[in-house]
Amino acid sequence: MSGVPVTPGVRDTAIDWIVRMQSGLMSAADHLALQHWRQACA
Amino acid sequence: MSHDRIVSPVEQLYANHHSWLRGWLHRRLGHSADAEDLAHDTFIRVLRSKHEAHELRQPMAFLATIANGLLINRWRRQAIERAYLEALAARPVAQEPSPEERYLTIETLLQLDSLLFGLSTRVRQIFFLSQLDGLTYPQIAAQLGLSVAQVQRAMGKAFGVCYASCFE
Repeated sequence: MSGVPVTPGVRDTAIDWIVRMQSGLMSAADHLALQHWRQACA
Repeated sequence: MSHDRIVSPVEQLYANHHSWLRGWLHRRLGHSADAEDLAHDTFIRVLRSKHEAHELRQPMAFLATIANGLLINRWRRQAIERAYLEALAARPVAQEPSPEERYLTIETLLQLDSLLFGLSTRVRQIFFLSQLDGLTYPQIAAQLGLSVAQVQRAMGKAFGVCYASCFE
């Protein structure tokens, strides 16, 4: 953990992604969108 | 020379109401040693409380509220321990965990329960089916007669609480 504060918006989106990943229902396009989101947040 | 010392408000509260509180707890627990323990824990909470003991208008109600919270925690803990031991009893003896493993598992379950206590029973049930039983979201949805989207929303709530507990 970097200790960098996470904004509520990023937190909520991250939780949403975790849920979608765990659901096992992510499509290839979803995986790509997740990658883009992670890069944008890095 | 007088040897009278100043009695603190908490000491006064203890002197006036400890016996009553012990009896109140005894009626609910049916066991005097447990009642004594919880009465003791209640006064520990009073000492740590931000409320000033001498300012209490209804000291018995105050004590009963704290004691009732402790009672509920105790019952929850017992229910979790009982459920865990029942689950263990259903497993083969060869898989029986060591006392240390048992303790750690129960502590983990208690922490999880405490963490998720503010959530609805349904959300907790979904979270446990996913994280402890390893069911997929479609399986949980089928078992509980829900849509996958409802399961996802519930998991989002539960993860939100986990996040808040760890980082906020």
